[in-house]
Amino acid sequence: MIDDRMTERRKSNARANTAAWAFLITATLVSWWLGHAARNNFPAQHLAIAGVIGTALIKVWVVGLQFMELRNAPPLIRLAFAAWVVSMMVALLAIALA
Amino acid sequence: MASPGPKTMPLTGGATQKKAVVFEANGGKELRLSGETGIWIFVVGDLAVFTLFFILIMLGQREETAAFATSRAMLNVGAGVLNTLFLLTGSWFVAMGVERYRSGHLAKARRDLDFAILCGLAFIANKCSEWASKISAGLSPATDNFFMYFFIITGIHLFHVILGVGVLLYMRALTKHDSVSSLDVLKLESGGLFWHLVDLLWIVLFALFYLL
Repeated sequence: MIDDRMTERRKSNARANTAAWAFLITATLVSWWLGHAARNNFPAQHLAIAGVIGTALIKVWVVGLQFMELRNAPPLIRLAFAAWVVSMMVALLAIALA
Repeated sequence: MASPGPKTMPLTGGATQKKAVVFEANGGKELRLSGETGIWIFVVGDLAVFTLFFILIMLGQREETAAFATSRAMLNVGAGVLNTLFLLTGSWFVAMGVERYRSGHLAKARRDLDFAILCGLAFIANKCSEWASKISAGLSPATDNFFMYFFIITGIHLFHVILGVGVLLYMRALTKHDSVSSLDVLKLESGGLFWHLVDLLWIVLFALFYLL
C-alpha cells in the first residue's frame, strides 16, 4: 500500500523533473534575449539587467528545489537555501543597480 | 532484449516501519535530505567560495562597466547558451537516473547516466574550443580584469565538470550491481547532488559573464 503510493510519488517526481527542465531551458532562452536587450541600449537597460540576475537566481532555486530535492528536505534546510538565494539576488542586484 | 524488471532489495522490518511512519507523518511525502551529510558539507563550502566569486565579478562589473562590456562583447554568447543547455539537460538525465535507480530500474538508470556523461563531455569539448579560440585571438588572464576572472573562475568550474564526469562514471558503475541497496542509493544521490551543484554554479556564471 505504502509502496504503491511511493511508486506513484516517484512517477510524479519524474514528471516534475521534466517540467523543471523545460522551465530551465525556457528561462535560459528568455535571459539570453534579456541580455541581448541589456547590451543594445534597450530603453530600460536596468530592467533588463535585473531580469538577467533575477532569472538566474530563480533557475538556481528551481535546480535546488527539484533536482537537488530540497523541496522534500526538512523546513529549516529549505529555508536556509531560500535565504541564500534571496541574499544572492539582493546582493547582486544592489551591486549592479544601486 | 527483454527489459529486466525492478530489482529491489527488501528492507528490514524496522526500516519499513520507520519508512511508513515518516511517509505517513508528512501527508504521503517522504521528508528527507537526499544524499549523505558529507556531500552537503562540500556543497555548502563550494557555494560559499563561489558566492565570493559572484560578488567579485559583479564588483568588477560595477567599477569597470565600459571595459567589462568591451571584453564581454568578445565572448561567444552562443557557446555559453549551448553549454548551459548541455548542463541543464545533463542534470535532467542525472535526476531521472537517480529516480529510476531508486525504483529498481538499473538498466534504465545506466542509460540515463550515459546520456548525462555525454552532456558533460560535450560541455568540456565546447569549453575547450571556446578557450582555444580566445587564446588564439590573443586573449589571456593577463588581458584585463574581465578575462582574468573569466579564465580563472570558468577554469575552476571546468575542473568541477571534469570531476563531475568522473563521479558520473562511478555512479554508472554502481548501476551494474545486482540489486538496489540503500547504501548505493545514498552514493548515487550524493553523486547526483555534486552534478547539480556544478549545473547551479554555471547558471550564475553564465549570467554574469555572458549576459550582462
